[in-house]
Amino acid sequence: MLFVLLLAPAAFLLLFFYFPLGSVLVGGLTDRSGRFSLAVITSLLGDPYYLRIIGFTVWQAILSTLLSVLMGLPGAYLLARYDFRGKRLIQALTTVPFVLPSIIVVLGFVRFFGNNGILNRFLMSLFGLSEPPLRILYSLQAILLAHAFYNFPVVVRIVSSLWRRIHPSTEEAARSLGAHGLRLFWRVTLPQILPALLSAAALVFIFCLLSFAIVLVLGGGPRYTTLEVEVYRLAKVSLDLKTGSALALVGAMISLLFLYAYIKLQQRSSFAERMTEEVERPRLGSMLGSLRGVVYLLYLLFMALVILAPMITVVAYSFQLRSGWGQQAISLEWYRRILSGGPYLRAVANSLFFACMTMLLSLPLGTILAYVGARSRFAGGRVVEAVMMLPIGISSIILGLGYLKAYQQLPWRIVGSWYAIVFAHTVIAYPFVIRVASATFRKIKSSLAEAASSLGAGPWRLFWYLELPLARSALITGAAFAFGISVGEINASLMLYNERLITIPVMVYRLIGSYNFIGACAMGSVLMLFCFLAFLIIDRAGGEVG
Amino acid sequence: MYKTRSNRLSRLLAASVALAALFAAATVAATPVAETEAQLVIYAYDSFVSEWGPAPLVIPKFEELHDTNVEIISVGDAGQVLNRAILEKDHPKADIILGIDNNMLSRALEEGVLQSYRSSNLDAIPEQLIFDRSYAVTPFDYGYFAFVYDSEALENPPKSLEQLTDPRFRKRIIVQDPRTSSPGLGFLLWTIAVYGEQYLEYWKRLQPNLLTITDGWDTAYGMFTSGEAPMVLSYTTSPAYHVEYEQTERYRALLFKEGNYLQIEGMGILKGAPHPGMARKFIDFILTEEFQSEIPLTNWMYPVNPEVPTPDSFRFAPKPEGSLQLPAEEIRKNRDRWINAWVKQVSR
Repeated sequence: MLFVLLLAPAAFLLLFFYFPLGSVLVGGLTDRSGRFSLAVITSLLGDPYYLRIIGFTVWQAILSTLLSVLMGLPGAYLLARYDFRGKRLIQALTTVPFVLPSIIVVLGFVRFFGNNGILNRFLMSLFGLSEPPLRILYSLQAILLAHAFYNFPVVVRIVSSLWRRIHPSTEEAARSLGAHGLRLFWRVTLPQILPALLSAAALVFIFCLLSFAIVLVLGGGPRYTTLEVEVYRLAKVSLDLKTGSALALVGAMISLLFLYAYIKLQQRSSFAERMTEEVERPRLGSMLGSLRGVVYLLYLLFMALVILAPMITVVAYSFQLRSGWGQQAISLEWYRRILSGGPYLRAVANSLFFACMTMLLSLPLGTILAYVGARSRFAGGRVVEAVMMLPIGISSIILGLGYLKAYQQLPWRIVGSWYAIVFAHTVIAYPFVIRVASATFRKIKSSLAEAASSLGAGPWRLFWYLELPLARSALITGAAFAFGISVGEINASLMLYNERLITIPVMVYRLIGSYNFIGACAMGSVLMLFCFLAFLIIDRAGGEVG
Repeated sequence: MYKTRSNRLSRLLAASVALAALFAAATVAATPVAETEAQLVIYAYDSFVSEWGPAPLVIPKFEELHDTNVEIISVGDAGQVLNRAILEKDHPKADIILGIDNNMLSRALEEGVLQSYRSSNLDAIPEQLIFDRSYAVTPFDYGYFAFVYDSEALENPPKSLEQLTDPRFRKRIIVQDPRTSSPGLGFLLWTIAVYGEQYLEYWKRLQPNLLTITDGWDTAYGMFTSGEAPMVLSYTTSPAYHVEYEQTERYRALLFKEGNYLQIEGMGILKGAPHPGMARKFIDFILTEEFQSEIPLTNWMYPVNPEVPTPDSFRFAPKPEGSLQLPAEEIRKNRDRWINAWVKQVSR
């Protein structure tokens, strides 16, 4: 029965992922006469330049992942174990960085953390300094900080969506036996949340692996170059598709390797346990007097600085009339233009439409695949699971090229249709749903299912009334990310859109290309607002959070 | 109890279906009624097609002139325009590709995607701007790469490429990466045009003065106007934008003693174009005043037709005495070697 369930997703992926991808990648695996050959790939792997880039790409991704996990874990704990006023708002707000185009993030970072940014200006005027005291940007730490800014919400949301469902009885038992603090966390709590933690880490890792503009600009130049920069150069500038595909293939192999290792690790570390509908949570407000409460508060303040400050900086910039700094009148000019309709509003409507459709498609797709992955017992399951995750490990530049190349001979134009964009977004988004959902499906104790079966529930009823509701919180998180990925996607959209299908990130890209940085920030602010609202609606419709 | 939870998920699904339908309706409502079949299809880079680019002004003029229907499609940046033409070589869907510059020319000719057409209107265009003697690509505008500086943050700006390496400008310059950006490539070629094979020595001296090297022009310029550095690699025409739309003269372009590097942009007719006749009419059209007069304030370049006057703000878009250029053939042969050696140098 599981295999019947797989037919529809398999057909979809074959048509809209593997076929277009294959049509490009085949170039990297053949020689000039079209015969199979590994020559291009082996010559890449023998080149010290590329080896160094591959090494750095993996290294920065590991560091960024560690930092994102360290920063996100306390947040996940707070969301899972405490109730506080505005929790829903904070959860929606912290997810917003995830959707921002990298150019907006760079501008936000430069204007806040930069040598001439708000932070340095404030410190200089405070202490009467003539030189900026904080040199944060143009270094490896700036890359890590920006990656943490992007990926922190991934960790917070994925981990807390599992954490809130784990019954605290085990922790209570351990506490009554004398385990406290770090020891309790290390021995009892961590093993329980590990599957979700690994899921989040794997997604963050792959995102950082594909990072490109952030690394180059905030790192300070080519000293810090990732694989994606070279893929971009070969596929879009040098127009050397053959080497470009070969390099993309190498990147995909690295992702696959790590995905496989992680899925193995996740399976080994998962143990099924009692899941609850909701856990009783104390209110955070009642703890503010204690030391613990103060620590929590400091953490929240620090997060606000890292997460909110760059975003607020972008919003503030959007109200300026001219570029630069200085005494400026506040102006609503760009908002007036955006609201006056035309292409701006169309971009907003299109983006939201694509995002809803992407969510609708990737939710069932990801859920089915995650369910089958978690329940099947056959030997090659891990490999299949890793391969299913491949879309996020593939550069969206290559995917876009694949769509252009693969469908050009069809009698009707797929490129330039709304569904081409939705399908491309779905392909990029559904692995998120899989990862979040499978961490939860693996945790559901099989005795629950057995009890239900013995009471006469068939597999469908079991799934619909028992397993699906327990995975609800994870699916909501997956849906939110699918929405976010679609709204923020630019590379594939840029290749597939036309005037009628313009999206918000494409509009931002256009505004910046015509000197309209303030307009771009205004459009970026609109993007943030709509995503914030959408995340609130998704959470509320799914009944998420206290 | 379980039932209600499941219903919540269905509710989420229902809500998103409803929302999607709503946006679809909004999208359809915002779209003009179905257009008739296009009689000319153009692939162009995005900023040409955008609301602030030349397309919304020049395309309607052409449509009216020839009572026809033009579809102009944005396919990303100039590199992608050529890329798309190469991908679709066997089944061309467009008639014209727009955005082939002097640095990309040899690649386009090598791929053999274009057909020759010499418009008689070329007679009015200065010889040195007609950069393709096989007439596969016809020029429509040109410009110069230049360093732009913020006069409120920098006194005594450099007067030459060499002076850019002065220790006074430590960490005060932003440039772009030639691997991913066309001004970035232009600057690399500029240094090669001036210093020949010794260009890496120059970069070694310049490096302490670079704050960062960005992936594209947009990021670099955004950082510059945010005051992160007082100098950025851009075009001689950039200050005209600030004069025209922000009424400020604080940003100025620098003309260098060695000369500034020239960029000429053109377009060409694809082999196997579905509408070759109309395509030739369009090539004729781009050299006329109708088209040329819109170029300065929308594409921020100089018109190739010398008869066409430039707007007043272009007083702040100075033209250099001497311009530099490398032969297309030399670029094709050496580009990858130059860039690779450059990456090694600046990665130190």
